[in-house]
Amino acid sequence: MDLIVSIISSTVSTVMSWNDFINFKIILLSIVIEAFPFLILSVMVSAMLSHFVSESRIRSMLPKNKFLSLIMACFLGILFPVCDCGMVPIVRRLVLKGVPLPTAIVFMLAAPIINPIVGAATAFAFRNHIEVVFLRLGAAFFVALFAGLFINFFFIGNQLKKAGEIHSHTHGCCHDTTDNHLIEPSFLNKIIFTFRDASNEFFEMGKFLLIGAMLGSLSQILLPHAMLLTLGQNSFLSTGFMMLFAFFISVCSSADAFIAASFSTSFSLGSLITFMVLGPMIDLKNLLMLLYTFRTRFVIWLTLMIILLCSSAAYVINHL
Amino acid sequence: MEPRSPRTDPFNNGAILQSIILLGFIILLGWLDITNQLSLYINPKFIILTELSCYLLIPMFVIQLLSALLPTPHSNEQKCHHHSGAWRFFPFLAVLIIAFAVPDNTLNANLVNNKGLNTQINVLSDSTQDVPRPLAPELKPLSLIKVTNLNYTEVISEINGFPKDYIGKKVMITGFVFRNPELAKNQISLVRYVVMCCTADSLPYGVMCEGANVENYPDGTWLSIEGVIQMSTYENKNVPAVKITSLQPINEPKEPYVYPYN
Repeated sequence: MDLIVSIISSTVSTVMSWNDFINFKIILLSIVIEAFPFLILSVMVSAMLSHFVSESRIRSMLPKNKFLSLIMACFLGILFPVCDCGMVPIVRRLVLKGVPLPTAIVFMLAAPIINPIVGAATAFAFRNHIEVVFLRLGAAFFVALFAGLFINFFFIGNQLKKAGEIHSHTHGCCHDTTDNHLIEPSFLNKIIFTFRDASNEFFEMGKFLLIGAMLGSLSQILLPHAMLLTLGQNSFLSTGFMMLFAFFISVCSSADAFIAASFSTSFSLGSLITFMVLGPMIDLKNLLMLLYTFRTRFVIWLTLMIILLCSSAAYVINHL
Repeated sequence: MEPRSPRTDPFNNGAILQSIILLGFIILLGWLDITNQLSLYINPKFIILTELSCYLLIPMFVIQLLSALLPTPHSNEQKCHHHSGAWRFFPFLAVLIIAFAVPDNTLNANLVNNKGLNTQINVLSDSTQDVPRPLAPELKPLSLIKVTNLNYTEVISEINGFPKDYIGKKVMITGFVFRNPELAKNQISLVRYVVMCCTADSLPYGVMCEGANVENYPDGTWLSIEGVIQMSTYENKNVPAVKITSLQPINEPKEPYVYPYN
């Protein structure tokens, strides 16, 4: 153990002090421990969907009208207050189960923000400015809905990487037993397959969560707050900067309101709202998972679209 | 069972590595839980979720281990991984090694500058007009205010936000020493980290203190102080400060962080 510590400390000391490294370790581990249950639950839900819920059942639950189903996806978070850490595996499973891509993506964007827990946390962080809550939820609704419409008009098909590029457990080589629809697997077998698939998906997706957590902790250690504050004065710069900041620090959507509140004296309201809308939708760990799951071109367009929509929301809020 | 890939993995290395990593996380989370260290990383109200995920990891581990040891038809996972290679396990192993190899488990004073201290961010900002002040009626009649884990955030923001109501009152506070730039020789900030969700979103929160012999205590020293609230100057502004009447260096408390609103 001592040897490992000395190896780590000699490598680290070139970048930061030992005290900084201890803080890095604590922040890294805290992000991992905080996000871990959400990732585990999400791969479990995804595996259960795959083995226990049929495609026709899911399709019968969606409204036939495209626009209505997008609106509904915006508000699903009220029923399922999920964290953004585990959204991508569930969305992938939903798309594989035949849910239209725009609807699934809108659910992914809106659910981590438009839900009671995040609403309460935001209200708490901005105790004397209740309008911030409505602006945040409203902006999230607007960004998610328009991103969904954009996908609806410009992208066809499910945009998932092809089976050759991605290893998916629903179709392909590993599913000889479950793909064989002639034999319905027993209930016990289904449970075993569920845990096995969940574990495999945990390894597929988990690495991106961990890499994201590492980079997020690193940026927390190396970015001084004072530097951020000097950038906050300019309305245009501050919005762009807050988006970058949200992208890198990767904190969960029920906590980011408090971070935003700590900037509230020096940053424009629009840029704070952007921080709280863009962060849960696109941050480092989510982007890595998205790139792994969906076609690169699609992910780039989606990210650009969200950045554009968030900037417009900030502009509107700043000039109300 | 038609193997689709010519590359077979007789030892099922991938499944064995996966089992080891799952076991590693079970041990890590279980150990942190049993030794009551989870609250050093996350807000205690989330501990139940961590325990739940630990219970879900156990069957995953068992099933993964069985498929690693028993070459059943289902253990052919490895053949399907077109990106085989141990590198994809690197992030998991790195996190586990860092978690077990670095013994310290509390944030130190080094991070305060990066996070920004409350007193530096909004020195008597104008946003204090209509803040609800649930604690004010309770505190106003007191002549001695004891700052505890439970009331820490509220009391500190009362003192910093509405010093006029508290001038002359005695106060007892515990926290660690931090020196922001511009402080005079006899001034320190007494700080604690406030944690909302997890330690990653912690914010340092503190109050300025003045005393004759504070320069003997380096940054990060935990102190328990008694003092009187008064006005002082910092960066040519009038700011509230605690004039220290007695102070006691202490060991880091068992619960170093403050969890507000629990």
